[in-house]
Amino acid sequence: MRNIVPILLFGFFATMSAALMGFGAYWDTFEHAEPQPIAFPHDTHAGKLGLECTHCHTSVEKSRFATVPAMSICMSCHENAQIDSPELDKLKEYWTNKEPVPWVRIHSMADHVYFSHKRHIKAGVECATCHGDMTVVKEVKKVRTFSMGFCVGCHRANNAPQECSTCHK
Amino acid sequence: MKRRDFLKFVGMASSASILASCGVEKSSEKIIPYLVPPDVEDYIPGEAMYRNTVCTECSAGCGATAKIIEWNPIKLDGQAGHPLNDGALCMRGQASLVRLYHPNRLSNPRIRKGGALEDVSWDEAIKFVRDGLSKANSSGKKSVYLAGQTTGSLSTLLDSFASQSGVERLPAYEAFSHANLRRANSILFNINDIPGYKIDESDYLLSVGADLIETFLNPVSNSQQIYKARKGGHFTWVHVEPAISLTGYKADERKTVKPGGESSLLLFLLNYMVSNGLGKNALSSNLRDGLPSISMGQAASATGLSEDDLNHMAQAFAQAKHPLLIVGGSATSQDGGLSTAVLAGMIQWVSGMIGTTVDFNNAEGMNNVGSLLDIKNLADRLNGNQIGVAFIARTNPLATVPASMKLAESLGNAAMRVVMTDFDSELTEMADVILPLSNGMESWGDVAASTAVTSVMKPVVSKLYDTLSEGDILMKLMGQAEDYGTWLQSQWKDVLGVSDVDALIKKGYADTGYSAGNITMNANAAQSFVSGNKLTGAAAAGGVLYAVPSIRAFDGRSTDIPLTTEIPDPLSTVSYGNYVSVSEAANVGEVNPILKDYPVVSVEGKGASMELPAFVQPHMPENVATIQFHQLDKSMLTMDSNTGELITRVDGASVNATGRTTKLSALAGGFDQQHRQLIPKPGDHHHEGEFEIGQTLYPEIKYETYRWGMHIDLESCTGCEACVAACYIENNIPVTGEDQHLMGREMSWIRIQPYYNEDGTMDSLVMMCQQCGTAPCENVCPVYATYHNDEGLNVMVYNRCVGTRYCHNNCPYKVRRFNYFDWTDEGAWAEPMTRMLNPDVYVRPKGVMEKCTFCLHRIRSGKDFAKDENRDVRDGEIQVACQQACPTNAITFGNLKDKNSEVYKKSQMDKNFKVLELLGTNPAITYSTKANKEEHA
Repeated sequence: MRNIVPILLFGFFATMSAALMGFGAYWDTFEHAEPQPIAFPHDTHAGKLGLECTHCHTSVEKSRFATVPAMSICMSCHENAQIDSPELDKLKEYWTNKEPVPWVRIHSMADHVYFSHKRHIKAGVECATCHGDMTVVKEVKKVRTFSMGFCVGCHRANNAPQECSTCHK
Repeated sequence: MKRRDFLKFVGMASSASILASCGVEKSSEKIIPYLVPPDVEDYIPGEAMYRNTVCTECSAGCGATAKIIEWNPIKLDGQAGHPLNDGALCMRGQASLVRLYHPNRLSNPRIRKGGALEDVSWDEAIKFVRDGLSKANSSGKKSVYLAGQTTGSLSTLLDSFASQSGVERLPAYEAFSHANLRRANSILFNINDIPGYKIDESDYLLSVGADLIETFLNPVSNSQQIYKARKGGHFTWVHVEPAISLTGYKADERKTVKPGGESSLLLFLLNYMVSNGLGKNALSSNLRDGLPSISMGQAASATGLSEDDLNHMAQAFAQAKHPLLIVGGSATSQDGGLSTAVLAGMIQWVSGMIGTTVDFNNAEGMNNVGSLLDIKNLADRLNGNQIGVAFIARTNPLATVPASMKLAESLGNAAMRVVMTDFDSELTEMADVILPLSNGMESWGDVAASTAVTSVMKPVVSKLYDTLSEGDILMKLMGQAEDYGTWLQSQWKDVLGVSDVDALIKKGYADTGYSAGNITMNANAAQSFVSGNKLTGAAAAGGVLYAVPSIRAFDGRSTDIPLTTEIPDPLSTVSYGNYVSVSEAANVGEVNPILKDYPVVSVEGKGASMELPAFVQPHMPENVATIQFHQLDKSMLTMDSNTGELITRVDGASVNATGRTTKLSALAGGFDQQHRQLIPKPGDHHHEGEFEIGQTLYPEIKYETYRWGMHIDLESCTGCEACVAACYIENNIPVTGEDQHLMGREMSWIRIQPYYNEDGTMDSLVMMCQQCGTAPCENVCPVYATYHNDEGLNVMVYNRCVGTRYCHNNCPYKVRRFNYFDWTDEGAWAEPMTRMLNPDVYVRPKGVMEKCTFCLHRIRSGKDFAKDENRDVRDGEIQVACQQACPTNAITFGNLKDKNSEVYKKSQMDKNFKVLELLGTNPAITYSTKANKEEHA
């Protein structure tokens, strides 16, 4: 019995650590992020109002970067529309102070990865493939890991280049 | 163990694990949107924009194009189509980008209060200077303004500032003022300037002393013209010099003249032409008779050249349809340099070069540059306490004038010293007011590149610091509310006759058109010079030390840029540290290039002495030594008391071994080819029968659409290192410093390796990753971090590399570099230098191997662009960084699969070879040399 105790202890800790690490990784990847400075509802804009993604993410078809919209794009509608929401008051305050909204980055690529939004959009990849269906979610969350496995899986399935230097810079 | 204890342990361990996992960093990276999107036509987020500007590293005024990504210039290249430097910049111009971002740049105005310098606002500093000016004026002292070469609108503004404020504008100061050349031209042609030399229109070029490839006037333009002339065929270039220079090696023939023998050579040539009635313009009979005669034998003994050489030179010169003689550098910056220059001018006149290959309509525009006489005069006035405020802008005479002038001491007598510069120096140490200058890329401005072309610039980046351009400072000092940019635009409209300023900026330069009129030689002045002066002097006896302006630092100004020291000298491969190049005959002691052990010598001359390591320069004539100008003890410099030329020849210099050795960071492990036939000579047929190329155990690689390849023409290559600087900046290669270089840990992806041959020639081998078809490095990588892709590239996947360094060990070309440190942490890119990092290229971390991959990111972006148009990449569409920088188009890059591509055609020439081909590495780079061409001619 005495000999089993260390084994039991080790087994328990190992399982606990693995579970915690797994949970931590999941939490960190998909759930855990600072709250956005303004609770921007994607479902309202992309879903209810039916705005095209490119309405705000203006560079997605011509640049590597999709870009978050310049505040003047927000204000082009919100100058007049729906002025009595506390979140919109925040927007208005930023605009009046001429301060950009410090959005929290949710999706990012490692420094050694070359990724072009333009190339993927031109190849007909839907935004939702990587970002999830933004017409139904209120808050942006990661739905994909953006790990190499995810990229290569899709590249294989679509017969896209799988040569390392396509993405590795 | 009791059950209770067991539970305690479990509980403790669980809570510890949970606590530990709480330390995960929150994702807090921010995305900052624009308030309003920038209204710039060609702006696409993350993509490059190109803007024309002017390189301000020296006063040549080359047009430059800044590559700008997200508002940060990340690369400077020559402006394509610019009449001066079509598409190329020299190594210092390429490196000058670092000047903009260097953390040591002066960032705000400072004034001296109670002995200490204090940060102040611009208003305060300007008021301080204006008060100083009026105080000086009321006390009857004259205020003076000394600047580096100033041309264009700034010169106009400076004149109006001077007249409005009662300040005397002194002739501009340049260490290499070419005073003798200009004096000779004023005597003979009444023009105090240096003409444009049309090398590309000549068929025989004789250059005496002028270091055309390194620093003489505009080395980029010189190289390009030499390239053009060579392509045109029927061009011979003979370079005559007393020491060793890159220019000499790159000429068709290099002749060694005795120090001081240059004038005898020229007198001989002139006599030959005159006595044989050759040339287009005859000399007046008086002048002809007054010309001292010199026999072939006398000339041979005075110059040290053989009679054959002299005869050959004189005949070739006389027979050439469009000969060109360029005299300068060491030939004129010595005692008797004026006579040499006058003789050269007379030859240029007699042979009809003036108006054809020597063009005063497109002259350098140096007429407002002074000489050391002006500095001497200033020092005297300072010593007499006659000077009020001394403005010193864009120049540091303290670092370049002869120490005997004691300029620093004299400058202490000025009532106030106002220094305008961008870096600290001995000059700012004694300044009362330091006005930090904006970088050229942050400023409006124009530079007269020659009398016929004015390059213009507009800010291409917003100011990094609280700095102003010199023009803006002058406007403020004059109390003008207008800024310099606005004034400048009206000036362009009035003076250059430009109606559309935007179009002018886009073009980058204005043809100002200039006519120097019909130039004839003033025979009387020539005659009185000939009769009143000794035309030839005796060659120097004993040892001679030449201080030569360095291709890396010019007169020392570019040492502010760390990259220019990191990149080695093309002849010695020395990067860091002072050294003297001596002849083999000097017998200074044992050299061990592998251990980087070099003998220490004591160099003595003109009553001063220096102890420094010696580099034994092959082919250096006996009793001659050279040192880079900025490394010379300034006590050894003197002045020509007649013309004010800086004398850089130190006579009676001795080089003595001390018996000690020291470490010197000469990067090459050797300078001869050790019979490996790296660059085959005619008659080298080492391949035949010895081995069969192409045998491999590995399956043959199929290249689908592209196989990227390169051709390097070593005949065109001048070894100027522009490609090296371009590569450093393009690929985020860190500057590592002397300690690392001494351990053999330099990081350059491309290097220029000099190999000295017994026949007195030198081959510069441009070496970078050869992108081998059967690469020895690929097989040994245990983690598939380096592999061969289907476009023929030997790709490095940096984040996969685990740093075994097996690949480096296995590479026969020694082109792989290992990151022993995280250079970001080591301060290689101290803020704000991170702004010059190319975002397309990964910054390699510690423990990772790196190397050239033919600018993979440029290939990627070229393919991306082509794919948008649904086609393959066109030939010439993708330019790699080294290719783009090369002034002589020595590097061709392209797709070897495309039989019509330039690189394919060049790769098929008979005279080609591949380096270490016998190893069967099957490189994608082919080379060609002159030697092999003769073999097949």
